[in-house]
Amino acid sequence: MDYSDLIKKAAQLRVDTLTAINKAGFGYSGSSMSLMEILVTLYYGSLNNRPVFKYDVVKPDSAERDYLVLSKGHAAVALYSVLADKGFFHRSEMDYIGKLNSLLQTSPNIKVPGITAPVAYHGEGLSIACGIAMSLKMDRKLNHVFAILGDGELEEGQIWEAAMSAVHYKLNNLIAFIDNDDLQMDGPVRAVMDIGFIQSKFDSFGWKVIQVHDGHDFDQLLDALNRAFTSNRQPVCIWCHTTKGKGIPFAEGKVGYHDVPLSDAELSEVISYMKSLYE
Amino acid sequence: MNNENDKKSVSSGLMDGLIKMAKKYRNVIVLSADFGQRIGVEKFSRAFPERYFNLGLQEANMISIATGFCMTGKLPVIVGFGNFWGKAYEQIRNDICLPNLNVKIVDISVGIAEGQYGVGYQVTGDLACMRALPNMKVLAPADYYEAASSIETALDDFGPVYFRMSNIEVPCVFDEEYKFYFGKSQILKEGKDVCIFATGNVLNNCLNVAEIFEKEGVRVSVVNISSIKPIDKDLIIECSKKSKLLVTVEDHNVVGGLYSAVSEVLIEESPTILKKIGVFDKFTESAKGSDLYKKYELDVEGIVSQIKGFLKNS
Repeated sequence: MDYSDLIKKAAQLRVDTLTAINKAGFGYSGSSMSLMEILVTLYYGSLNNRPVFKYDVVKPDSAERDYLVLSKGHAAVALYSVLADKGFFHRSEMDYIGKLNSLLQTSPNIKVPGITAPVAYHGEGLSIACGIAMSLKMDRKLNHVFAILGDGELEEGQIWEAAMSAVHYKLNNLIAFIDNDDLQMDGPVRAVMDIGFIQSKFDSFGWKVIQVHDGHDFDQLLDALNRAFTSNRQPVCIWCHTTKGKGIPFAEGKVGYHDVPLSDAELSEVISYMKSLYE
Repeated sequence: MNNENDKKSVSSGLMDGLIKMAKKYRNVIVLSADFGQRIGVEKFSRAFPERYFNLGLQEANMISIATGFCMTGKLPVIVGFGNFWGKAYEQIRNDICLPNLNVKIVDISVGIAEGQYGVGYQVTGDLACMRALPNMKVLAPADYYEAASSIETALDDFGPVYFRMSNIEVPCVFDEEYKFYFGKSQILKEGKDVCIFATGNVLNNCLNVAEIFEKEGVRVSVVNISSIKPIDKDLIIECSKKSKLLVTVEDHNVVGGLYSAVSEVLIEESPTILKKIGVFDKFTESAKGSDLYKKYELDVEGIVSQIKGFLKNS
């Protein structure tokens, strides 16, 4: 996909995600928007004529697949939109997220085709990604492991345990995106519990840190991944500056939209705006 | 029955069983959070250096890393010391039991038997916590052979299993022929006056207690409940109908442990009076295990005197 196609895809997936959250009556609208370009880059982007993220829709547990740990599991609906769009499961499943007897739970579950790691609680995903990466190293396999972390999550101690062990075991097959949208449930991350300067923190643990100034720009994301793939002996942190609620004109950068669905009126306004982008 | 000449630690049985199974299943790996020397993991790490990972003092990270290993088809066995699982209880719940992954968790220093490490390291609440996790099976092997057989059974089975055992040497109760099954208990001694349900560290003491009572003309049966979840309901109900006095003995808090597990069965199927011997809902102190057993009446004399008290009042 070229640049303009990626932009259209992101807009379409935003509509799918917000519609599903609205139907569920529960969900993290703001948080699912900030990481959309990261997901689209992984699943639709290509580098040197190869897909960035290897997956097999027909055989989801193929030995060749890469792994994605959505550590900020509350943004699961965004990932479900991608998987539904790719055909891992039928689109109609998106209408039943978080309802009784549904396939799609509100956090990623390994029963869902295409989900490569379970996440039920914040702060644990980077450790799970480390485990996968250690196991792949042990088997001398070349698959990659990606993790997507929120910035509020970095307040958890376990993230730094994982950061330490990733360097100890020289996990250069591990790439962790930080979706740094500066907001968490209770307000600005800086005000709730300042996580400080992400670059120097990961640097001092021994990670290779690549900063992406606009985490919604596909060129910058692809360029960062290109550099990440050549890392030698170091895990890579791609630190992305993003905007909560990106793409929803009235919700951008607003903490109030972190964990609420859009109302029907808001949704129809957003859909008509976004459809103009991809139709 | 118990052989004073054949003294081995329960944890060494687990390690021997684990090494045997690691030869059979190439995907078995072992994770530990430091304390490896203390818990005898080096035996495994010498045999399979590439399949052993020491995560340092990162208990929570270790459990989630095991989840990652499972995603790529490995079979992690986590071996730890003291209350390590308590630091990672939430990870055990969400990352292992919720997705129902094939992970075995072993605590090799439970109860107050190794008291000198301090109260922080004494594990008296693990049964309560682990029993409350859906999908989790909970085992407390009593001797070397039972530990070896139970890890073999657990690795042949699928799903999360928690083992509690101690690192101290105890006389063996079983022999090489012994085969462990989930949800199966054994009557090691039969008597109609008192029935003792015992688990783990204290089973040996209970067998000695039975011998002492026998000399006094009181017939005591001793039941080894090593599979605490699932539990052998039929046997417990059968024993409850045969004996006049029922007692549980455990090196664990009397809240949430064996006493609770046996009570849950009896109250539903065959209501009767059940007495308890264990750590009575209190923190102990740092001292030698044998001294703590004496003070908190888990040694042979302590158990005898408590049961005599129950007999007197009944």
